[in-house]
Amino acid sequence: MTKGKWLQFILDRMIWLILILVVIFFTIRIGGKFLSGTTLINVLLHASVLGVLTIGQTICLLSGNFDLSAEGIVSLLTVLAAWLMLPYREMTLAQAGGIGWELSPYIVIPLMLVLGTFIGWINGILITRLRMNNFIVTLAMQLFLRGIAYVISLGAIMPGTPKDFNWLGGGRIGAIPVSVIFTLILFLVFEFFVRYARFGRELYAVGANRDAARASGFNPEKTVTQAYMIGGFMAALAAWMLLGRLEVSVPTLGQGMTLETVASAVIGGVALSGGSGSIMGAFSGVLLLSVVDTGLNMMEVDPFWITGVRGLIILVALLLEVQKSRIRVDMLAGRAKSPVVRS
Amino acid sequence: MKKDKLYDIFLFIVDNLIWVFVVVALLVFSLISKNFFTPFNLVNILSRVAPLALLVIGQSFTLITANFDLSSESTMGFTAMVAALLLASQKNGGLGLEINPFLGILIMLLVGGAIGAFNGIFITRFGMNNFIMTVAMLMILRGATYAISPGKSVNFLPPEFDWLGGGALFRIPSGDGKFLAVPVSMFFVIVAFIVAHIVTKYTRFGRDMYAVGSNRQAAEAAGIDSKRIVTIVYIISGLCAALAGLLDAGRMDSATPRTGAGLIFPVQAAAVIGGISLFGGRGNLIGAFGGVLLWGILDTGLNIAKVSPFWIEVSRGALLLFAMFIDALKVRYLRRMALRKVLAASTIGLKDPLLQVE
Repeated sequence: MTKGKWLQFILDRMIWLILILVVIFFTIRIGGKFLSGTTLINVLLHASVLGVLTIGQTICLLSGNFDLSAEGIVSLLTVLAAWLMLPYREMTLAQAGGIGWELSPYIVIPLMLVLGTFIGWINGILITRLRMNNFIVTLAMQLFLRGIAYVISLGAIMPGTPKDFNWLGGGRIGAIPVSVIFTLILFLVFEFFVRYARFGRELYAVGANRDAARASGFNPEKTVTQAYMIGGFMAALAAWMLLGRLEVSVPTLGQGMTLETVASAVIGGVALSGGSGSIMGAFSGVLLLSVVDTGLNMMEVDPFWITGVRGLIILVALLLEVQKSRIRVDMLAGRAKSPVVRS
Repeated sequence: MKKDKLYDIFLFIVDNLIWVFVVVALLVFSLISKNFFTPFNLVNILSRVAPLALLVIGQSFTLITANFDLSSESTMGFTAMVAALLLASQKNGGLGLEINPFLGILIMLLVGGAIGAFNGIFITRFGMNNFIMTVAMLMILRGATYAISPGKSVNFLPPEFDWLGGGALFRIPSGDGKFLAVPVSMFFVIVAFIVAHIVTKYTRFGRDMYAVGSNRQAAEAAGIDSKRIVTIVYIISGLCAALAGLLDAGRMDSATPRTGAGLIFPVQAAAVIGGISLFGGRGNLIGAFGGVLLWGILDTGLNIAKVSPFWIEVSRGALLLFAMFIDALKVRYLRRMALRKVLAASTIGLKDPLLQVE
C-alpha cells in the first residue's frame, strides 16, 4: 500500500480510533468501574432505540433525503398503542387509561408496523410525486403527528402496558436485554441488505446522482419512497421497543431524537448529500454518542453540558469528514491543489 | 399575448396569496369572537411575535442564499443570557457588574455577529454542510447558555435595556380611563422588515444574494464572491438573533436558560408560509412579514376561540404542509411556463430563445 492508501484506510476508520480514545479517557477519569459488563450493557441499551431509528435515518440519508418525521411517528405510535391496549380510566393527576377496547398486543404490534410504514409511504409520495422539499415535509409531518399524539392522549401519560407487549423493550435473555440483541441483529441484517441487495445499489446510485441513476435505468421515485417506508417501519419498531421498556406512554417520547439520529449517522461518516456511508459506520456513530452520554452521566456531569459536548463532537466529526473528502479528491487529482469539496 | 397576461395575473395572486390568508384569518376570527378585533388585541399580536419576526428576517436572508441557519434560536438565548448576566445585580442572578445598558446591547450584537461569522466561515471556507453545522451550533450554544446561567432566570434588567422590547412609544386614552400602550417593538419590527426588504430588493448585495441562492455556480461564473455573500448573510442572521434576544429579554424583563428554545420551527414555518423558498433564490421579505402575521393571528385567534392547545399544534403542521403544497405547485407551474416560452420563442425564430426566459 502506498502512503496515500494508508492515510485513506486510517481516515475511514477514524471513528473507531476516537471511540477507543474516549473509552480510555473515561476509564482514567472514572476507574475500572467504567470497563464493567454493566456499563457495556448500559451503553448498548442506550444505543438500542437510537440505533433502530438511526438505521432508518441512514437509509433515507443514503438516498439523499432527510427523515425528520421519525420522532413524530414514535410519539404517535407509542400513544396510540397504549390507548388501544389499556382499559378505560378517568383522567386523574394527568394519568389516564386507554379508550377501553383493550386490544391484544398481537393486533396492536402489526398495526403499529403497518401504520409506521404507511406514514413513510405518505412522506415518500409527497416528496417524489409532488416534488415537495423533503426537509420541510418531514418536519411538518413530525409536528402534525405529535399534535395528533397530544390530541389522543390530552397530554396525559398512560401507564401499565401488557406483558406480552413489553418483551421486546423490557425482556431479558439471561443478563442481556432482548432489545440489545435485536438491535445488533438489525444492524447486521441491514448492513448486508444495503451492501449486497439490489435495493442497496439503487439507494447509493440515486443518492449519489439522481439524474445519472435515472439515465441508467433506475427509478429514483420508487427507491426514495421505499427508503421512507423503511424509515417509517424502523420508527414503528423503535416505538414498540421504547414503550415496552418504559411501560408508560408519554406524548413527549422521542422528542429531540431526530437530531441525535442525524448526528450519529454523520459522525459515522454518512454524507448528508447522499450516496456515501454505511450502516456499520452509522452504528459506530451511535456507539460513540452512547459511550459519551453514559460516561458523562457516570461522571455526574451537568446534563446541560452533555448537550454542548454532543454539539462539539458533531462539529469535529463534520470537520474530519470534510478533510477526508478533500484528501480523496487530492489523491484522485494526483495531489494537485484542489478546491474544497462541497455538498 | 392574452395567455401571458393571465400568467402574470396568476403569478401575482400566488405570490401574494399570503395576504389573502391574513385577511381571511382576520375576518374569520373577528366573526368567531368579539374579543378578537380589538385595538388592544391587535397591538398585542404584533408585540408578541416581535422576537419571532426578527428571527424570521435573519432566516429569510440565509434561506434566500439556499442556506439554513438552525442555530439562531440558541444565538438568541445565548446573547440574551450574556447581556442579562452583565446587566443584572448579583441578588437577581447577574454577575453584579451592572454595566451600562447601551454597552450591554453593543456586546450582545457583537456576540451575535461573531457567532454568525463563525457559522459563515466554517460553512464557506471549510466546506461544512450548513444544516449540520448550524445544528451543532444550536446544541453547543444551548449547552453554553445553561452552563453560564445561574440555573434560573436572571431578572430586573435596566429600563433602558427593556425599552425596545417592553417600552411603550405612546399611550392612547381608550375612553374608560385606561390607556392603550403602543409598544416600541411593533414599530421596530415594521421598520426592520422595511429595511430588510430594501436591502434584499434594491441593493447590489441583495441581488447577489438571490443570484447565489438560485444558482451558485452561475453566480460565481458571473464574478460574484459567493463565499463572501454567504458569510455576510450568516453575520446578518446572527445580528438579527441578538436583536430578537434583546426584544424578548426586554419584554420579559428577564433572560432564562430556555429563552428562544423551540422557536426554530415556527421561524422556518413562518418564512415558508410567507413564500420564502427553501430551494433558495425566491421569495421576498414582505411575504415573510405576512407569514409572521399569519402565525401570530392564528396563535392568538385560536387561543381566544378556546381551541385546545393540542389542536393548535395539529393545525400548525397542517398549515405548513399546505403552504409547501402551494409552493411546490407554483414551482411546477413556473417551470412549465418557462418551457413554453422557450418553445414559443424558438418557433418565432428569435436569435437566442433562452434570452427570452426570465
